[in-house]
Amino acid sequence: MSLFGSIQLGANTLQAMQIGLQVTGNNIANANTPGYVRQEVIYSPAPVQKFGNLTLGMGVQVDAIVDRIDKFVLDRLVGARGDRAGAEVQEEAYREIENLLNGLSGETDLSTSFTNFVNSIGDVLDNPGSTAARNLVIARGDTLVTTLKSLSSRATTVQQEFDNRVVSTASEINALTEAIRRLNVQIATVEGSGSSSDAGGIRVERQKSIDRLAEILGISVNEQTSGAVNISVGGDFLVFEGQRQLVEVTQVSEGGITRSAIQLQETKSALVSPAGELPAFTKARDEIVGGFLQGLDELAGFLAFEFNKIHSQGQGLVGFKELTSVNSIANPSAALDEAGLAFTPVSGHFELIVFNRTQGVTNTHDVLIKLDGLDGDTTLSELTGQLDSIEGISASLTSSGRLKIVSDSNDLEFAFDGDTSGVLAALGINTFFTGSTARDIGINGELRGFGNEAKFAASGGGLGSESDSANALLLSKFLDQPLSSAGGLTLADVYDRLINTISQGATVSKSVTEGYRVFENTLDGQLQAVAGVSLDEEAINLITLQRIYQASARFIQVASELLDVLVNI
Amino acid sequence: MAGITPIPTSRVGDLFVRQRLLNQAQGDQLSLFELQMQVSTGRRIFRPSDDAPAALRAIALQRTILRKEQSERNLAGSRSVLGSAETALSSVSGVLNDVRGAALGAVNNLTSSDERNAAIATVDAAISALITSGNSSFNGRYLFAGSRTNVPPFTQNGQFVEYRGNEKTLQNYVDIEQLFTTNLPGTEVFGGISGEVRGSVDVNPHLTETTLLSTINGGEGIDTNAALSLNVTLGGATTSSIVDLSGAVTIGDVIRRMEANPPPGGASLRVEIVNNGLTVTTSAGTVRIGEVATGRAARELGILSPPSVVPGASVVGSDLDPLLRKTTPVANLFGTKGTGRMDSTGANNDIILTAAANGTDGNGVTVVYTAGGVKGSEAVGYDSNTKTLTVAIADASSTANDVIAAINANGHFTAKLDGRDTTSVNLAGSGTVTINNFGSVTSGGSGTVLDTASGLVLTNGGKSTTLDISGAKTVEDLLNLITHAGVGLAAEINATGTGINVRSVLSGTDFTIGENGGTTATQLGIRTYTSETLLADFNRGIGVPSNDIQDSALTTITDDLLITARDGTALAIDLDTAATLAEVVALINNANGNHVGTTAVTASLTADGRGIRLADSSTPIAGDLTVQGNAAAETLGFLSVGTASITDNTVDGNGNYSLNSYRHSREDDFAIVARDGTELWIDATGATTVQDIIDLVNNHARNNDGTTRVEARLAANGNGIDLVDTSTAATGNLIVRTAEGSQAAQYLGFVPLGETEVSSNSGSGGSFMLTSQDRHTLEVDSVYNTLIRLRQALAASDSVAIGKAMERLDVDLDRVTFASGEIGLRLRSLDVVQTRLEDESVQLQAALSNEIDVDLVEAISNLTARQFAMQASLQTAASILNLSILDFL
Repeated sequence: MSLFGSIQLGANTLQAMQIGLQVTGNNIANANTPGYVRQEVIYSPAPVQKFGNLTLGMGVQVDAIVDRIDKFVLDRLVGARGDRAGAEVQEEAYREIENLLNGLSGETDLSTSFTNFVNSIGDVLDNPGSTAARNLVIARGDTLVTTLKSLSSRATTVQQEFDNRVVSTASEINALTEAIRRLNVQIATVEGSGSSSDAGGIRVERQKSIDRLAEILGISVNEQTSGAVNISVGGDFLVFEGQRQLVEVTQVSEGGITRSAIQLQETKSALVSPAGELPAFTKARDEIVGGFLQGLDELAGFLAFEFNKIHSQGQGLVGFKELTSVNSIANPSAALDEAGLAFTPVSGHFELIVFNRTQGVTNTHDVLIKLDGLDGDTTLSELTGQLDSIEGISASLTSSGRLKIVSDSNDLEFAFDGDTSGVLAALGINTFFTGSTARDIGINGELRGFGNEAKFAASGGGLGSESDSANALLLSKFLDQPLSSAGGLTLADVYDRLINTISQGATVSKSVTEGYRVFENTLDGQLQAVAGVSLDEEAINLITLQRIYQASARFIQVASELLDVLVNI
Repeated sequence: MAGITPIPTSRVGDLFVRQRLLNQAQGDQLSLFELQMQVSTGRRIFRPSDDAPAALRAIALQRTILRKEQSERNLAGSRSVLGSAETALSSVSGVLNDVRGAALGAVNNLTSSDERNAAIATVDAAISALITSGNSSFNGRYLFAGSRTNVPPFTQNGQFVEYRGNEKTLQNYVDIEQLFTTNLPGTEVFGGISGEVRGSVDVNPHLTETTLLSTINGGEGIDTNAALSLNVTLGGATTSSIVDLSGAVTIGDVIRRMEANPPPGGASLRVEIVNNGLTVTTSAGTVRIGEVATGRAARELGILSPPSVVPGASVVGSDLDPLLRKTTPVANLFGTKGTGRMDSTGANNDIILTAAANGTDGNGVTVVYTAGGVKGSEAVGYDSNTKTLTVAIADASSTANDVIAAINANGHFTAKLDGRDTTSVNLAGSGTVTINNFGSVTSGGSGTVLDTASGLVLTNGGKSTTLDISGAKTVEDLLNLITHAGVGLAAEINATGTGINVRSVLSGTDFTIGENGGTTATQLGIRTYTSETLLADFNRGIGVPSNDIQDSALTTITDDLLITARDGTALAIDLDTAATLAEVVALINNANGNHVGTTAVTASLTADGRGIRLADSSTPIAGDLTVQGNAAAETLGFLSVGTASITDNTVDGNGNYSLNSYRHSREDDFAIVARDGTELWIDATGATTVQDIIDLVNNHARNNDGTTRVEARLAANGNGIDLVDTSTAATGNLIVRTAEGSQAAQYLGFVPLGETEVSSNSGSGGSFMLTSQDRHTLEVDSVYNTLIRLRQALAASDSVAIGKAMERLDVDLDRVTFASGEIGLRLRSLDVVQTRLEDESVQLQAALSNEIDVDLVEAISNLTARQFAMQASLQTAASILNLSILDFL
């Protein structure tokens, strides 16, 4: 033991305290930096010295500068971030659809369009001879069709938007994994080669990337002894030490619709993530928006087919002189229920009415549709033949596979009655709507144009003197009518079910998201409790270090004075 | 408000504190803003997920409110229409009362032409006023036209008024699920369509393979989700199969499905249409048909085997009674066609044969395939005596299709392929046939064929037309022909779907439907003049007044009645003491020489009590039974005035010769004088139907004294009664002469009004014929009819007719009053509905408001509370952030 030794001890202390001050200063500087993990200097007593039979302490030494972080909480936070981010995406998807539906406005929503449309038929009942009332029905039908179509197209846009986000996610994943890989290498370099300190800021930077990646994918993070982290998703490693695996966008075709999906570039296997934004985007696209679109299509389908079924049985103020079926059949020799029509007709029959307006004479003809799977089921060709044999009209097949019926003279009109088979609705003959989904629903062109509104089939008693409003009466209670194709539900029920699915989904996703958010915040709080910088704490540290520094300096001064005494002897 | 996040227990970092404080402040602000939005918009929820159950209820409520609003609009429309109708009818009773007053004045003073003309002018004015009322419209909709709202319903057609609307009602929903009839057809207010000409005829349409199941059992159809079970017992073992009939549309579908699903065990089933029902026959064993579970298909198809019946080889179903439809072919009415199958060995060659016409003639036909034919031109011959259809075929070379073509070309039968035997569509009918004899293959033919060759005679509005219906293929064609014959008649299928109704739409005139030499109208049940027609309905309800004088006493007869029995015994009966016919009968039976030995002339009163029947059973037969002509014989009515004698030598059923007398008296209404001078005196008293009059003539004693002189029958052409004189000793004309004081002959239409006699010297086949006028005319019951009739009566100064018209006027007035009352009633019930709708509207709005509207008091107090909370939170945050140890260092 010597005075110089004491001075050296003091100098070491000064240095250690300076390092402490440096770290405290750094902590204070980053007090406001999000994600920053406070650092702590680990002091330990310096190795001891044997002095005679005494063991003398040799002061303090700095062992390491470590990050104060709870790794366990951090791991859990990674999972929580994925859950919260995924739930937020779903919440957003439901909100988008709710915004589209605007169900509570009572003025512009789909429900109102439905009700207004059916209501307008009441005006025809009041004045069956008036074409103006019929025109209103067609106009209201137009509004309904437009509402359905625009809902469908806007929902499709939302769906496309989610698809785009799937695509952009791929590059984000690649950028993040690259950053993590690069930082892995740096951290390993910095912390390796016997250093006992943490890499500090680089780790914070890497953690930021990991956090973001955890939002996108349900990743599991494994820190290696080297300080590098390995990141895997559902068993596939995205980052392994200093390497990473690239992902790419691929187009998956399902049911005729092309969707984007993400796969591993090397193995071409799909990237399956249990949580996070990516699966949420897919779910939002395919299940939430997709399901809504499907429900909307179903609704439009029920509307088109069932309304048409009633409409096709009625007669307008005037009959048809010429008519081409809206829907076509590729193979006219196929039984009508196997010919690929959007709606499937069944066995039944209808009546074709040929009306001579000049003479006021009606001639009714039975047309049988046999579709029981036994011998001789009715085909489009046969139906055409049956119709063609009726006096006063000619029926033929167009080159595009449509049924065309033309009256044989200018005096003759034709109309339809009592279709129990649904074949007229299926073929698009004497129908109100065209199409079978919300995308392609429309108003039959036969009803368009000046004077054609009179073809709105309000009558159930035929053309001419027996014309009445019996069919309009059936149409006017359409909303309350149990629909056979909808399993006995009414159209209002189907609509309510659609709205219910969306609003329940929205409610649930809202509370689920809130739950995840609180959970994440709680974990974040726990993390911050360990890793957060407290200025008060740092200030106390600062003073302590300062005081030690001052005391050490004083100690050196004392030693120095002792040396002076020695020197001046 | 943001979620509540727990605070870590150990230590708190500055960043964490600030972030948390920031979050809290943001959460508070968000809540404040939400409350502010609620207050400013008045809405509690902005999107369904804010409160999903309430939102769903709100959407349903919004829909209900919208529909109630439409109901209110519909109701307002209905109210306007009914209100206009009420206004239009308000003047009608006034007009009718004016007419009554004018007519009353005129009837009291018929001689004054001024008075009469004034009354006629009033009637004319009333007619045109009522036409205007009847054609009232509102908003372009004719109020009294039924559902034909764009056509003025009442139009002046010459001197008549035609109703061009229909009888349909228009309905609208004045509340959800509450239908309301918004119109009264003109027929219910003013009248305008006559009652139906409707007989009791069921035209009995055939059951065919294309008959729709929905039309059988009188339109009740069968349960569409039906199934039935087939059970065949063969060799002591019973096997069953279930036949699913769901989705079957026609009888043919049922037949095919039953034949395609025989119970396992080898027996095949054949299902045929016999006598409008199904007959199921098994190829072996016995067959029973049962229900599946609680179904009723077998019963509805008429083929349920009752447990009490011992099973046989076949089940014969009951008549399925298909509805008459517009598309029913005319050939399928009034019976069934015999039908059967020719089953040849091999596939694709079985043929179903059907007779071309209804009736039993088509039953039991034998079909023979003989050799000697050429493939492709097989010769077919039918012998109707032996009921044998012979087809000359090329053995094992002619195909079923060839045979079918040949039979169809022959025309006596129609043939078609039996689908059961067809293995594939391409091969249908390609199987060859061999020489064979199918004994008695057809059965099930019944009934008759509609006479389409003769046609109908339609008369209305003074126009008469003969309608040729030979071109009518379907019932609708027939209806169209009648409706569009241009005489103001309308034909339709009756409500029960069993026959057709014909009605007139022309007010102010008579209409009739008669035969054109055939049976068409009678068969269809639309003849207006049938044997059952009541005489009371003749002459527009006046009837046929009969001379009802009681005159049973005989004037003293001074001559002896001289009878010679057939054994030659002459009987002379002194009638001085006889005062009644019964006494004459006793005198004859007790006459000297009568009932002595083998002489037996038995006298009795004829059934009508108006004559004496002499039955001569004397033996041996040496000559005729003779009554000699003289005043006594003439008075008693044995022979006509101036006739020398009357004899009979024909043996009746009891081996007697007989003679009848008919004593003309003052009770008689008219005499038919045959060409041989025989007077057939007819007393119409007690006759109630046309048939009674015909019977009176045909059963008249003078017509049954061995010679039929005048035959009465329903007119072969048009309507009326044909009197056909078949007298052989023809010298004079056929005459109908009225008895003094009787108008019966006039009212029956034999003698024109104002005349006493009518005669005919023409006819066909050597007979002279007289046809009565059709006095059973029908008319439209309407106010216009009454007025036009009144006008005609006034012009003719016919006080009876005026009186009749004024009676009708009361009925018309009642009808209009009733209709007005009905409209008033409906308007009142609309008031009730409206009040209810208004109440409901308030309730619904309140309910909707409950669901989605904000409670302002609550929202504002929440706002205030939150404001305070935020203030406190900010203050505490500020003080926390201000605190730092640095300040104390």
